Amino acid sequence: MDMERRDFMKLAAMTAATGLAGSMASRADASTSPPLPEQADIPGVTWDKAPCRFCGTGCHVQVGVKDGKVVAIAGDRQAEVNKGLLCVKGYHVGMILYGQDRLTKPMLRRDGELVPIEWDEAIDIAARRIMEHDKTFGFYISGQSTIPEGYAAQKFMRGGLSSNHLEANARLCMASAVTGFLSTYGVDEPASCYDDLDSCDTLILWGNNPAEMHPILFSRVIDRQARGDKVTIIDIGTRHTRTTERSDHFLQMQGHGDLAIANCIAQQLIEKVAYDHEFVEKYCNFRADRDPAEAFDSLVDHDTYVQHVKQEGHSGLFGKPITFEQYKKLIAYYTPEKCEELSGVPADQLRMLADTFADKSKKIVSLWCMGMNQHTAGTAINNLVHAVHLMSGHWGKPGDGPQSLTGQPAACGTVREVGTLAHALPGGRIVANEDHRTHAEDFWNLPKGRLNPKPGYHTVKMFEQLCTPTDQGGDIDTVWVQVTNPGQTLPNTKKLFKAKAELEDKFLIVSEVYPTATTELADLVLPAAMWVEKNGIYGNSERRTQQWFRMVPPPGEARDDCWQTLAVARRMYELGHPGFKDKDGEYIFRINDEAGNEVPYWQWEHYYDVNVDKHLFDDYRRFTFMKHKNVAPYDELVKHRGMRWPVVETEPGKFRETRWRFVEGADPYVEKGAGVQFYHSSSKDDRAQIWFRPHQFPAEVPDDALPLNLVTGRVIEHWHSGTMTMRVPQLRRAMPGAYAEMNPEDARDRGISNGDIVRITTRRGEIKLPAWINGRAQPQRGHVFVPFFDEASAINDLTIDAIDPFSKQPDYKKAAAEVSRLDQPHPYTEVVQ
Amino acid sequence: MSPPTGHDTDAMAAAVSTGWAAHVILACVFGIAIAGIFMGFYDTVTPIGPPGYTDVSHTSTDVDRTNTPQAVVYTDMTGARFGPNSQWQTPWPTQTADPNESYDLAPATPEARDTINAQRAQRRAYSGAPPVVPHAIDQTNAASCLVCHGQGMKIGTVIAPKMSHETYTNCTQCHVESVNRALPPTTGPRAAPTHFQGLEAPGPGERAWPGAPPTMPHTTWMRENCNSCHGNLADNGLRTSHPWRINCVQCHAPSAELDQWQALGADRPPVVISEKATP
Repeated sequence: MDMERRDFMKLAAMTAATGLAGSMASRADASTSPPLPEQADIPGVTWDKAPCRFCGTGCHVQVGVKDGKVVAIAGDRQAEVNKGLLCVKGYHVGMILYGQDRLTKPMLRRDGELVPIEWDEAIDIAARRIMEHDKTFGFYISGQSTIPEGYAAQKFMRGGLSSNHLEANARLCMASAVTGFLSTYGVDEPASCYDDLDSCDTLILWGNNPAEMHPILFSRVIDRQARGDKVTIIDIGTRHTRTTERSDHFLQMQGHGDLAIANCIAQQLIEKVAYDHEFVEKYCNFRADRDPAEAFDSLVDHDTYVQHVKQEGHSGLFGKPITFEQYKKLIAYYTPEKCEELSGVPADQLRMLADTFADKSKKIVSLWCMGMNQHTAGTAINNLVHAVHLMSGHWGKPGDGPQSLTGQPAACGTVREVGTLAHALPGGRIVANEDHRTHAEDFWNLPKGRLNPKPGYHTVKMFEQLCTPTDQGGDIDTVWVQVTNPGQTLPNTKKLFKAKAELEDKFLIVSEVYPTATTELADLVLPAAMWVEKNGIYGNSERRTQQWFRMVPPPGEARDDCWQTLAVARRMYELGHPGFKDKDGEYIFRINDEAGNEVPYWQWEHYYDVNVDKHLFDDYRRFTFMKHKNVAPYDELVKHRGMRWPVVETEPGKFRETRWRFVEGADPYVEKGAGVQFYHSSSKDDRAQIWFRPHQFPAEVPDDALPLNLVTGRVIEHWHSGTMTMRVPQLRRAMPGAYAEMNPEDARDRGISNGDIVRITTRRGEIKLPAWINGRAQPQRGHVFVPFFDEASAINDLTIDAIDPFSKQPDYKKAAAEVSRLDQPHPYTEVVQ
Repeated sequence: MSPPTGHDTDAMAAAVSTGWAAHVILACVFGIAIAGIFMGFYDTVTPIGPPGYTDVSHTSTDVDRTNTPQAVVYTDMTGARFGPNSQWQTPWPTQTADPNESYDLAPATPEARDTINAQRAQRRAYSGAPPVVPHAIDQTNAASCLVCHGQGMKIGTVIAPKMSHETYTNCTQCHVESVNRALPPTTGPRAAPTHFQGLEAPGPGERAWPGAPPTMPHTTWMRENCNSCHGNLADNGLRTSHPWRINCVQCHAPSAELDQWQALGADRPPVVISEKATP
């Protein structure tokens, strides 16, 4: 079986090298694409499993392959996540490989034009550029990079270059969830799992629209309702969405209202003495930004404390312990009436929500994703939602607990677990910790001191430095982007990405599958294989690690991202970069065959002689034990539709996954009799932290000149920047472009009717879009919503680049804006163009 | 009779104005009611349009006005036909009569099969993909889908098939509009056609010998309800020739080769379900 597969892969790789050439694409010249093939007669199809390429839910699909092409997709009935069901993106996922303008040839920018070059030259150019600029080089990968890709990049940067300028786009989507978990439980990632959706009585959606963004998970709940189960759905948000349509309660809030809402729940639990005394006393501590006793010897009131923190600053991600009495005094400020004023949610609804938490007989699941994470107080609101679950004891039972969702298929697997962020090392380690660096140096057989203790630049900073002229301190001059599209998805893109166009000495390498806003400014484009054109491993939002095999050859000369990283590494080793030798002088990415001979996998024709994924993954696996995030061995993953870590070997060859972390009986690392044990607690006493986090207003709020709030987001048909889904005709026709979703009264005030082309203006720029009123959803008065999938409407030119102080994640959901008809005078004349 | 005091004048004025206001209000009410009747007529009645009129969207921004049917004259109302189904020729009672009476039980011809397969292929990326919706949809509420597709219905030649699978409650999760009628179409490089070649619909099922019942040529996953495509409401070409036989799988065996559930079971171990947690 294994040999056959390997032979097939070799064959496929060779076919790829010769056949399918020609669909060399540059945006300006789509006419070089070959004509569409004749309709094929398809008698039989082979099927294999793969996780879906899109969101962080982690559905499994069955991929139907005929004659080296994907021809059909089916929901995988053996997958626990989706049980055979998919969403419309998933059903069409096979089509993303076959857009007419796939990139199939490396391209180098010469005299302003991208011209085709050979792979050897491309790898050599990349290697020499990085070699010369290794301290000013940033590697920007993705929550869609596979675990082996992330691990290769990790070792390339920390081990090879002794540099920490390694980031991933997941910074833009779940960094606040990470800091929320770390500061609450001492270790990252959800403790609960999707099984909770099958037994919860109440589902609370915090700024989340799962009917469109995580439809499989939402259907898991509403299909229960259809079968007669009583599940109450409470939707907290700024827009009336498809999710709201299915909800029992809609708490319509203003931006940052979630902070007030969560604080109000806590205040009510305390005031009504309805919190779970036993759970809090046994398993929780209280925390805040600063110790109130620093400046005051008695209990301090809310306003004085907030003022004090404002003056002194916070004391780090892990804060300072406070007493329950101090917490009570501070939280007392958040009465329902006060919180109505802060959030816009009526006090009665806030009381209803608090009563829901006070009711111990009902099981509650909270879900959240971008609404809470893309937030300049993202860490704070993550802390608060954990806090209300901990305080009320709605924690750690099946169907009862908080569950953070991710937007990308390996945001957890690759970015959080492999640690492809500027401060991190694999397995929950950090570069600042000497012991952790030593672990990595030992695992990788590197000389002591090879790893750099100073964290690198986070995403926003990295691109700010890229876009700043070198003589003005812009000390990033080379960036390699893989599997993501920052030209469209960074906030404030004019400042953080497009400004690079003017800077001659900066060099951008982009590994991509289609032309994008990012390749537009690339100096070197490397055509990439995608999804089932390569081996891969993802990790979803419930700690599930999922493996798949390459099933079809990539088109033209497109090659695996992982191969690209490793080929550049090899070239740098050959050019004599000292970092690519371990302490015994061996190549750091050496892979031996069974006879012990080195496999020259950096030559593309030999890449599939060995399973590079398996080698890298099993190497990485050693890192996962320290924080008890034990991933299963590769061979075990091959047999499963993903396994949820920690996966422990119960007897030789038998592996058991974990559904609820920190819970006795479910988590093998919890001691007998402990009940619940937060064994990575930041306070070293097996307790979680209940945080006091005051309300704060957004970084930019509407004013007289720009009286509306601009919210950006997603739609069901498209995935993120639309690079893939816009090439699927069924999805593109259903959702052909971005739109300005307005409240009908706001539209009426401005004389705007459905379909009118309107101008949206913020302090950073403007775009023109058709208005869609009473369409897919309806924002509340004073809000305007625009999806970001449409490359032709660069809404991120308008968003702010303010970030959360801990997670460094930007806020895409609050920007002061005005919408006007094109024939009306410009609303805001001081706009920086 | 003493002259009215200022106070009385006010009272009278108030009484007069009350009476006046009442008349105005009544006039308005009648006016609105009458206007409402006509407005209602205007908006809800659609006569049979010229051939080819299929756009039923109320949100469309680019309706071709030259093709828009004229409003119905009030006196013609009783003869006017309603709704978008311009080919509705049959009075309602025959639709609800015993369905079996109205069926053409002639066996399907290969041509009819090709026609219906071609139509189905237009609405699917590949055989087995969820079909796109060929009409405008309610963007927010899936319940409206079930009005027609819950039990299925046929009006003239327009068929709303019953769902082929059990009821899932978020229809738009899988089925999207074939064309978004509210937004302008995509332009530029991304509007290029695709190289994807979808799996084609299977031919007729295999027969062990001439006259034997054919096996199912497709998976039954998401197609548990045979009647959706093969039942009374189906187009000739897929419709069964014997609608009175209701236990389909009695004679037509599903194919293990096509059913990924069983095929995969053979060479892949089942998913391990970890033991129930007892926190």
